[in-house]
Amino acid sequence: MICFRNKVNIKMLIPLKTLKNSIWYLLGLCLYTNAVFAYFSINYAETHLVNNMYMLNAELEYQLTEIATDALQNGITLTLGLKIVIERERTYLWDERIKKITQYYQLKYYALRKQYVIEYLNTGIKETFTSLNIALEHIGKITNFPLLEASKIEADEIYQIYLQTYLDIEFLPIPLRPIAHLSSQWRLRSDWYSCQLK
Amino acid sequence: MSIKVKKWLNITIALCVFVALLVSLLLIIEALQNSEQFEHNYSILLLINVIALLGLFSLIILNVQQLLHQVYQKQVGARLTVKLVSLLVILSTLPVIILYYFALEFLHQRIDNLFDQNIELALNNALDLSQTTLDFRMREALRQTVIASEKMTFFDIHPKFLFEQLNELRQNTGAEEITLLSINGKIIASNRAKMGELIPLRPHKNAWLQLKISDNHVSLETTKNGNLYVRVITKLTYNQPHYLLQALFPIPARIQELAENVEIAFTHYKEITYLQQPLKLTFTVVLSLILLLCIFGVIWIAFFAARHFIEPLSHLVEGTIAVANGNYEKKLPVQQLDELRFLVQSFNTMTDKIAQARDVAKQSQQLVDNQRAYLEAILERLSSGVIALDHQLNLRTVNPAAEKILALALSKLIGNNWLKLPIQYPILIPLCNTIYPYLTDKTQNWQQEIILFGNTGRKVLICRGTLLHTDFNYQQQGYVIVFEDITKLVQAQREAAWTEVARRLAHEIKNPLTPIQLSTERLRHKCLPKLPVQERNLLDRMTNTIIQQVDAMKEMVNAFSDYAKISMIHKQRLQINSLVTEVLNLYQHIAINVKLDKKLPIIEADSKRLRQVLHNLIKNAIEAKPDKNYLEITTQHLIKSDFECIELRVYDQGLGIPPKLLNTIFEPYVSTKQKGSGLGLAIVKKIIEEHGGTVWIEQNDRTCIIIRLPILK
Repeated sequence: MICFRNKVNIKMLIPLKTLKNSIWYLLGLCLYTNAVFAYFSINYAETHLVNNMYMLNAELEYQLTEIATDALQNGITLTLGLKIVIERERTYLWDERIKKITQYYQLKYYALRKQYVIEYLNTGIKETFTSLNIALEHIGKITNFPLLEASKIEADEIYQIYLQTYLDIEFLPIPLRPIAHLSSQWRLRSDWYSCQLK
Repeated sequence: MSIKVKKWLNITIALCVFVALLVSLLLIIEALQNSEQFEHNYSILLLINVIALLGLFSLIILNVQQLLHQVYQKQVGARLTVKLVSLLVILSTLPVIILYYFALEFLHQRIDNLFDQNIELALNNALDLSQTTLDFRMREALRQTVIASEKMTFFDIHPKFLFEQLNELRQNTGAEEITLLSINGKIIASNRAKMGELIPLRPHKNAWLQLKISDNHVSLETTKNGNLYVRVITKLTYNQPHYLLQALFPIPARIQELAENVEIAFTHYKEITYLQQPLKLTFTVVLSLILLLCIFGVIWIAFFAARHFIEPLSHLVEGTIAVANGNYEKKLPVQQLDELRFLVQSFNTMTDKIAQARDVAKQSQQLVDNQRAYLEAILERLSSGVIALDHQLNLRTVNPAAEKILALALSKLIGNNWLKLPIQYPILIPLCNTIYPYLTDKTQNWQQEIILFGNTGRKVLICRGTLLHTDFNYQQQGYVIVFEDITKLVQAQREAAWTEVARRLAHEIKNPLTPIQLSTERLRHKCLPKLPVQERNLLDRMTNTIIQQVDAMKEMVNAFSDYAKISMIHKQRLQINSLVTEVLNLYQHIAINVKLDKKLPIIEADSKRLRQVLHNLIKNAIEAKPDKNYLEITTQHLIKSDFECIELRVYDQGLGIPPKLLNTIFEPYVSTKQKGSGLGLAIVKKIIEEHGGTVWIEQNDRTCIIIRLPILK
C-alpha cells in the first residue's frame, strides 16, 4: 500500500472545517503571524481491509507546549481531537464527502496519584499512565481503527482520507478560551494528511 | 420608499441589533455560569458580539461623519445636533464608565479573594497527607509482598500445594489477589479472596518497563469500578529468578473516599487558581462588551434623539427661510406628542394667513395692474403726448405719443428729474423753461404754446398741465402734462388766413386798379394833347404818378398773392452746399465769405424754394448796407445729444434790426427798409417752416439769420 504525506491546501479543505474554526484561524493569523503549528503532526497513515471493514493504522506525534503542559498539571483537562474525513474524488464536481469521524481523547492529570489518565470520549474507556510522554505516545499510535464498511465503497472510484489532529479549544474552560484562540501556544494543530483508501 | 418608512425601518433594524446584542451578552453570561446549553457556543457568541459591536461602531462612525459633513455644509440644525449629541453622550457615558470601573474593581477583588493562601496550604497539606497515607499503604504492600516472595521456596511442587501456599501467603499479607507470573508475563498460579473475575489483573506495560530496571514495581491503580488498589510486583530472587509475584492490595473504602475528596478539591482549587487571570480577563471582556454596547447604544440613541428633537426646529428654520424667500405654501409636519407642536401649528397658521394676505395683495396688484394696463393702453393710443411727474418732479410716466412728438426715448429716462433733463437733452429746453414757472408755483391748471426744434424739425406744441395729488392724504403732489403737436394745424390755419387775405386783396384792391390804370391812360391820351403846355406837364406828371403807383400796387398785391398762395413743395435729395455755391455764383461781384461744412449730410428739400430763401437772405444782407458790408455764409452739420440737423447762417454788418422789431421781423409787411414789400423774411420763414425747419435772427456786433433744417434719415 502506498501512502503519502502532503500538506493539503487549506482552501481546498474549507468545506471540511467548521465555520467557527475558520474564523478563529483567520483571526489568529491576523493577530499572530508567528503562529506555532509544529507541535502536532501526523507521520503516516494507512488503511487496510479486514473482514469487509477498512481499518486505519496511523502514527501521530503529540508535543504539548509549555503552557498547555502547565495547564494540564494545574487541573485543566485537555481534549485532543482527531478528524478523519473520507471523500470520493470527482472530476468535475467537488469531492463527495462519504464520512466524517471525530475521535476525542481527553487528557487529565491526577495530582494524588501523579498519573495521567486518557479517556476515549467516543467509548468511555480510560487508561492511566505514569508519565505524560507515555500517555501521548500511546494515543499517537492508532491501530486497526475501524473506518468504513467495504460495502459503502465503489470499486472503480478513488477515495481519499484526510486526517488532522488538534487540541480542541472549545473543550477548555470558558475563561481560557478567548486567550487560547488568540495565543499561538494554544493553537496546536497538525497539517492535513491525506492518503488513499485502499 | 418614503422617508418615514425608511426612518422606522432604520429604528427597527437598530433596535433589533441592540436587542440581539443584549440577548447575546446574556447568553455569554449564561455560558460563563457553565450552562450546558451555551457553553460550547461561547466563542461564537463572543465573536458575534465583537462583530456586532464593530458594526454598531461603524454605524456610529457613519453618523458622526454625516453630522460633520452637515456641519461643514452649514446645514440647518447641524451644530445644535452636535451639541445635543455631545451632551447626551457625556451625560450618559460618564456614569456608565464610572460604574464599569468600580464593577471591574469589585469583580477583580472578589476573584482575588477567592484565592486564600491558607486554603491553598491546607489543600496542599491534605494532598500530601493523602499521598503519604497511600505511600504508606504502598510501602506496606511492597514489604508484605517481598516477605511473601521470600517465603516462596517450593516451586516445583504440585500445583495443588502451590495454590495452598499462595492462599496462605495471600491471607498472611492481607492482599486481595496474589498471582505467580513467569518472567514473560505468563500466569502460573493465582489466588484471590473473593470470587469475581476469573482472570487475574495483568500488569500494565509500564510495570514491565520498570521491572526491567528494578526488582519491584509498586503502583496505585484503579479498577473498572473505580476502586483504588495497590499493585505490587516483585521478582522472586531466592533460587527462582524467572518468576514474579504480583499482589493486589485494596485501599480501604474510607481512605479512598477521603483521598478522592481531597484530590477533587485540590484539583478544583488548582484549576481555578490557574484560571484566575483568564477569569479576570473574561469578566473584563464581558463587562467591556456590555460597556461598549451601552456606550454605542447611547451614542446611537443620542443621535436619534438629537435628530428627532432637532427635526421640528430644522423644519421651522427651513420654513422660515422658505417664507423669507416668498414660499408661503410651505407647511411643516405636525408630529404627535411633540412639545414643539404648538409652535409648528402657529407657524403653519401664520404662513396660511400670510399666504391669504399675499393672495389678496396679489389680487389687488392684479387689479391695479389691469387698471394700469388699461390706462397705458389708453395713453398708448392717445395722439396727445402725456408726461406725469411726481412730487419731486421726477419723470414717472410717459406715453408713446409723447416720445414721438418729442422724438426722444423718454421711457428710458423715467425716474430722472425733469428739470435736469434739458442739460442732457437740449431739445427739452423750451419745454422745461416754459413749464418751469407753473411747476414751481404749483399752478393748478395751465396752458401754453411751445415751439420746439429737434430731429423732426420745428414743432408747435400746445401744452396743458394739471396739478395732481399722488397720495390719498393729498400731501404729495405731482403733475400731468399733456401736449399736442399743432404744427400742421397752425400752419394750415395760417395758410388759410393768408390765402383768404390774399384772395380779398386781389378782389378788393387789385380789381379796381386796372380800371384806374386804364382810365388814367385814357385821360392822358384824350386830354394831354388838348391842354396847354403848363397844364399838360402837370397832367402828364400826375397821370404818370397814378400809373406808376397802380403798377406798384399791382406788384405788391402779386407779391402778397405769391406769399399767400398754397405752395406745392417738391422735395428731393439735396446737398445744401451745392445749392449755396450755385446761388453765390450770381453774386460774384460782391465779396462774400463762405464757410461750408464738407461733411454736410443730405437733406430732403425743394431746391427752387430754398434757392428763393437764399436769394432773399443775400439780397436782404446786401441791401442792409450797400457799402463796406461784410457778408458771410456758413453751413454746418450740427450734432446735439438729442437731435442733429444742418445749420445755415447768413451774417451781415448792416444797420441791424431795431429791438422792437426783432420779434416781428418775420411777419409780413415788417421791414426796416423804406422800399420793399416787407415779405422777404416772411417768405423765408414760410418756406423754412414748410420744410420742417426753423429760422430766427440773432443780433450782436453782426446780424445773423440762422436756419436749421432736418437731415434726411
